[in-house]
Amino acid sequence: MKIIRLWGVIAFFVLVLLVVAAWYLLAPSLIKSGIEATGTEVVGAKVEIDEVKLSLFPLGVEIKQLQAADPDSPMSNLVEVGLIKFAVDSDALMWKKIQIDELNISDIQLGTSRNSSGAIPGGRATEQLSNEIATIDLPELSQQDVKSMVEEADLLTVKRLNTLDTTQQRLNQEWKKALDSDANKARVESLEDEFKRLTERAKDNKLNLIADRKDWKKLNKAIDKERDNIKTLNNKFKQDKELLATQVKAVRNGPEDDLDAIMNNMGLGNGIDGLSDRFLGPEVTPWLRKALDAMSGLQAEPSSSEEAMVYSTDKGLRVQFKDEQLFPDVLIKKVNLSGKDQNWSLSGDGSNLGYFPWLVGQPAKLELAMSGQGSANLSLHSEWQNAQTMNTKIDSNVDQWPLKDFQLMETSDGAWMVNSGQLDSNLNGKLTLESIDLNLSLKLNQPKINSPANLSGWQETLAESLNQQSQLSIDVAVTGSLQEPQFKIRSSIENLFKDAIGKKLKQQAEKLKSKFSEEISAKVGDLGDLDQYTKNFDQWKEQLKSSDELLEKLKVKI
Amino acid sequence: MLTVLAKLLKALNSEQSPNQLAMAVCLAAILGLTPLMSLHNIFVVLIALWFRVNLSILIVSYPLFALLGYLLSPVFESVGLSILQAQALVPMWESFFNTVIGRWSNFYFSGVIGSLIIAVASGVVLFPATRIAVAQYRAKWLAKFDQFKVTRMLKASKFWQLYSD
Repeated sequence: MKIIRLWGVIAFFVLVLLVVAAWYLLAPSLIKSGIEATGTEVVGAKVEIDEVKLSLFPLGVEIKQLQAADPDSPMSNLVEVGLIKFAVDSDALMWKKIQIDELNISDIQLGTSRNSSGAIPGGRATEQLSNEIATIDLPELSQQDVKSMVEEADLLTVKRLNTLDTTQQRLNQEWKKALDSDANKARVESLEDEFKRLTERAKDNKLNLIADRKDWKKLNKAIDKERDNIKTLNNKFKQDKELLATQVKAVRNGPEDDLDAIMNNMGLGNGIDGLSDRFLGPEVTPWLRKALDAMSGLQAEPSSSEEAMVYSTDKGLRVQFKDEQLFPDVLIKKVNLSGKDQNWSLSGDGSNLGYFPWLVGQPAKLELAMSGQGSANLSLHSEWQNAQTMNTKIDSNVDQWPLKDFQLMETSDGAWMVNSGQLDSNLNGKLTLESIDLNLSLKLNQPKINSPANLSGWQETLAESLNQQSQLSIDVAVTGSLQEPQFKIRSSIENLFKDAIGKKLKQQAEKLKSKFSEEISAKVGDLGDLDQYTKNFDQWKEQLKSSDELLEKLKVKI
Repeated sequence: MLTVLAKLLKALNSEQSPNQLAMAVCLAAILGLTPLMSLHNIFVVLIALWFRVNLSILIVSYPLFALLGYLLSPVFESVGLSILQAQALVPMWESFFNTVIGRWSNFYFSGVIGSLIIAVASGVVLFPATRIAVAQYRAKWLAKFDQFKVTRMLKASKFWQLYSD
């Protein structure tokens, strides 16, 4: 029997041919659906492509009419690109690496209208999560259950009172032992008796002074010893008195400290300043949140070491061995961007954009310029000397750029949109893997702000104030590290915010403060009689003083 | 289900050598236990088609091994990682990674190499075990099995007719 099956070999090659043909036919739609799915999740609104063309010799991809919808305004596009064209280096592809000599992105348009809504039903998962974080409300101060909050609070005053009680008991015991009146009296009396005896003997016969010289010396030493003892007790007395006084003072300040702690827990620790920081912080300000998301995506890969690195991928764990093909997994050697609209034109170019960036060997550069009614420039220069050393410089400025339909912030009542205005901005700074030093300055001139409907109270006042301003400014300083960026925000909106809510909040906070004070007093009891804790000190001092005076007299006589 | 059973019985009762059946089980183990879309599986399919391996047994066994592979995937990951990180083997893996075949083999994924090693090791055991089992079945159990009501029913069914053609 033959062990070879001839038809099997033919079937195998036919099968391989079929798979290749199927891949060639299906690849464009796979690329299209891949870009659409990934883009949709990243943008948070539909990303659609009209057509993807694949050519084999040379291997190239042409993407026509890419539209990314605006998540905040689903009937218009954030960006629309007429043509994206690039050829892939097949030699690099042999090594599973994508190297693009030149990427051309042309016919870029912004804010074009769409025929159908670009909203994703339910929104993307990450957006839903951040919306939950973003929902904040000012505390309804009048509705706070003061009594139960104080009941549940772990009050400092109570703790300090307990400590004071314990200290006082300890000191009472110690001093009672040290100044045991009977023993003390007996000791002083015995010294006094001895003094009298020796004095009598000296009066009888002066020569007894010589005969009793040893007893006189002994008496002298005993008095010194007793006085040293009293001196030590005097020092202890001072220390103990200070300790008790400090503790009494802490108890007296307790209700105030408790009040501060409770107000802190309510977000009123820094008064209105604290609230405005929360209100304008990155968690609730969409453009800052997006910047934060973008920065957290710049995490460095694990550093290289003697052992091969292990990465977690969707195919499981991947062990990265030393790659002798020293070029990055993805490299775009040159990128050209161009586009224009009725109101503006865009041009830009970049070079050496790659992943992993430290394998590129040359600094990545990206320069963008937009001109129209205003002008905007972006310059980015990123240099990776190795996997652990990155140095990126960003310099961007926008002059008099007309702005419309821009989400300023979001509250539980809805989005606060900038309907129109002119933007001046400046972003510059440095980024390394260890630190961030970025400064953003935004100035919105002649803003027209559309606030959520049905606002009332302080929010309504804030909305009115915002629209009366000739300029709104926001300055953001980002420091810290990529893992833990820290934002410092200073804004003219903050002052408006304070004005809008300040008075009402202050009145409510004051009322609340007095209620808290009452409840805390009720819980900790009367603190007016704290002097009783130190009353024993006078008695102890008197006792020490009288013994010392008596001994001093004896000493003088000797 | 009947189709599967008919295929299996047909193969077992045929005059094909136990080696052909055992080889089919071994190749099915590799195909099923390792990720299907891997470079090495092209060679497995080539061997299965080129040599007179029993394709019915291979097709029947594949889903069973695939299910087993799914259940054992954490074990494969762990075994694979140990193999890839073994100090003595690192130079070899590194050289292999820097070849075109090595790059496309995906052997640097712990799941792929772990499952392949376990599949090949199981094949070494499965081949003789299957051979013996088939020989035993044909010598001792075939006649008895034919007497079973289910077997007779199956042999009378259109499925059997289909596969005996």
